[in-house]
Amino acid sequence: MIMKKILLVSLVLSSVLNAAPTSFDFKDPKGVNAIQFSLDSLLEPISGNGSGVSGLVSFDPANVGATSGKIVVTTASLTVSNSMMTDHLRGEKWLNAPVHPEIVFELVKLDNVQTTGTTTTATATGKFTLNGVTKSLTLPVKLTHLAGAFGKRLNKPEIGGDLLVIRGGFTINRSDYAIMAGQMEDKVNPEIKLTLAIVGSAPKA
Amino acid sequence: MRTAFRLLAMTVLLGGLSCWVLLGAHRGWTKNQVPVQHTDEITSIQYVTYEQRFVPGIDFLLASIGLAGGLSAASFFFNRNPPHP
Repeated sequence: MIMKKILLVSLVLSSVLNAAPTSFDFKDPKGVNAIQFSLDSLLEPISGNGSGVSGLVSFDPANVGATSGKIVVTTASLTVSNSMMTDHLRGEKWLNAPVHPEIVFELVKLDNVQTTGTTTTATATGKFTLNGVTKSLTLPVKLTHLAGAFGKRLNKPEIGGDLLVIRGGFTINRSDYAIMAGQMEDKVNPEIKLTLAIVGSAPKA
Repeated sequence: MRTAFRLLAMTVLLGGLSCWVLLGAHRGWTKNQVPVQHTDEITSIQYVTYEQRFVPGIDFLLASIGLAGGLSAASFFFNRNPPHP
């Protein structure tokens, strides 16, 4: 009887210890990851993306609320449809890519976590750094855990591993991040809409 | 010289207008790379790549009109008939 109890306790302990969160790398091997941004302007919205995404997110499907991590986008990867506008965007007057090379979101906590099947919706709170200014930011996010899909995505089903897709969107005011605050507002809207749909990989050896 | 400037102005105006109309009559900003949308099959993520292609916008058309106007105005600095010796 005592042996059975010891065995049961050791089994429970073993399963708890093995359920460690998995680290997902957001430097996508297929180069799909990007944040999209859009600003209203005089003629039409100025839209573009930033494809230099990297970062690590620690995720446990059994304890989604404990998710932590950081997503980084290189400022020099921000691109719009006009190369002159792209140069201005990355330049000294706007985002000053040489001085502020990274745009960072560091997750502090997840609230209102609701999981249905492989998909979780939550409210993410974190520290958002843009143009050298860091502010607290809250945004709705959707996390989709695709178990065993890593190899399939690369057309190498023999490779095991999971994928984690993160989707979200938020709006910031460029004056909050010292981006030409109060200037050219008649030509370029002060509000910037950002959306992200990115995938992280956790290959298994 | 006066006529040459006016012909040049007309060429710039017609060239700019033709270029704008033939390349899509885009009423936004000029683009020199065009976004193309794709979807990742496994994750359903929609992502954008850029195709190198020139699409003149309203700013290109206005620049053509401005340049043609400038050339046309400059033509008035020259005499109608050059003086004979």
